[in-house]
Amino acid sequence: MTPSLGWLVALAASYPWLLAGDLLGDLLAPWHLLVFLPGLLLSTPLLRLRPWQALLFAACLGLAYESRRPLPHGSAAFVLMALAAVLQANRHLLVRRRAHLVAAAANLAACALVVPLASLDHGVVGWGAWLWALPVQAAFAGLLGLVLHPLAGSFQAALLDRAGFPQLAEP
Amino acid sequence: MSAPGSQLRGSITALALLLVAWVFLPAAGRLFTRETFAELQAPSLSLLSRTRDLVLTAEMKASGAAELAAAGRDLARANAALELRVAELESAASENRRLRSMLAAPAFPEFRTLVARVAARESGAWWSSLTIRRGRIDGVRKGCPVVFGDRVVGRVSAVHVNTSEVELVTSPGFRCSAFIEGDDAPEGRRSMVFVEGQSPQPFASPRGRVTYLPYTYSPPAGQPAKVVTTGLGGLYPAGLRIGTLSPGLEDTPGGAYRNGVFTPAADLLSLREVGVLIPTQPQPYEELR
Repeated sequence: MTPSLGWLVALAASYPWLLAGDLLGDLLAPWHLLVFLPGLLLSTPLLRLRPWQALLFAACLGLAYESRRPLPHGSAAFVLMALAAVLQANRHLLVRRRAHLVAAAANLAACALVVPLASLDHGVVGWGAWLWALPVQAAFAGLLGLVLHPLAGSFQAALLDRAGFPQLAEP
Repeated sequence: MSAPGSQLRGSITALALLLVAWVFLPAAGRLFTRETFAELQAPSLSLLSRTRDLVLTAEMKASGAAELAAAGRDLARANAALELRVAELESAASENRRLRSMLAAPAFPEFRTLVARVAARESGAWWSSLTIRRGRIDGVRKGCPVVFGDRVVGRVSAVHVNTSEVELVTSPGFRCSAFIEGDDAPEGRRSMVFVEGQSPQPFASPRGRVTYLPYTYSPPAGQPAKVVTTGLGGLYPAGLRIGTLSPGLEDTPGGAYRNGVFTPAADLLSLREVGVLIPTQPQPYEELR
């Protein structure tokens, strides 16, 4: 497959997880827990994509996520792109044992950055409302990152390997 | 192999370029991307919802004949009572129309009801929403009220080709006018209050706020006061139940009004089917948009 299509394959490998997140969100709706997965879906493909592809992948992932959420247009895409740039610059953190922790931290950070952005677009959510909700939602996103990254990461890696996008050599 | 420094510089340059492009990208372009991804997700959500329906149907088919016969009998009784009620309401509606025409008063908006299955629901930190399996091709329009029986569920916040998103009555962006049952003022002089959703808190019950209650108002003793729609503005028909006012009203700082909290009338996060009320004529809120 053309190397420039790596971002598209990575998006295809991440998309089922976004849908699974929606399904889980449906089940957890009575508890008002936000199932936030885009941050954890970033880390594995970043090891196999060139910087511009990584940014494109992060932007598309963000747009796919915010398509059904009340977020300002492109806000999730930009948060994920910024996170992808930081992770891409520190790729040594994404290898082996620490990968799960980094994915969980990335998911937590992305959730903590994206969720308050809804205030800009959707009604008036007082800052007082975030005092209790944001730490809980971010912690839950971190936990999801820790639990789901082994599965999601393996799935993405297998699909990218099969499509001919092996892990890039360490810089 | 390039040095890490040059890679970082490349990433940051690419990010800066994209940031600039995004800021200046026309809003239409951004809306297009959102619409595209929403359409991309719609078939998957619909498939998941249909699979759930199939499982439910299989469960129901497994019910015994005696159970089905009992359910059929109960339904027949309920239907007979409802037919009588419909006849009464039709007679009242025709009288209402005749009196309104005599007074040359503007007609109430008329709606057709479209039943829609719930495909997905979400209630996180920022909103509470449902995705329903009816969209633009079914005639759903942005802003249409969504109900379950005589209870308000929310309103359509976005319409796609085959699906629509419904903002629930407890979502922070939701606002509408209402009357409170138990307000002793005579009909026509009842105080109008405002209803708005509250940011859903983890593990808490969904709730909303009722503001601008008159300072003289006190809830009826022994039963929760119902919050009902006013019918003003043309969004919701009058008299639909929004929720019940919780006890414990608090005065505003100036003491001119009181605020309270309401619990939604419908169990919003376990609904499987809702009704979308589609106005037969374009409404003011649609023209304003």
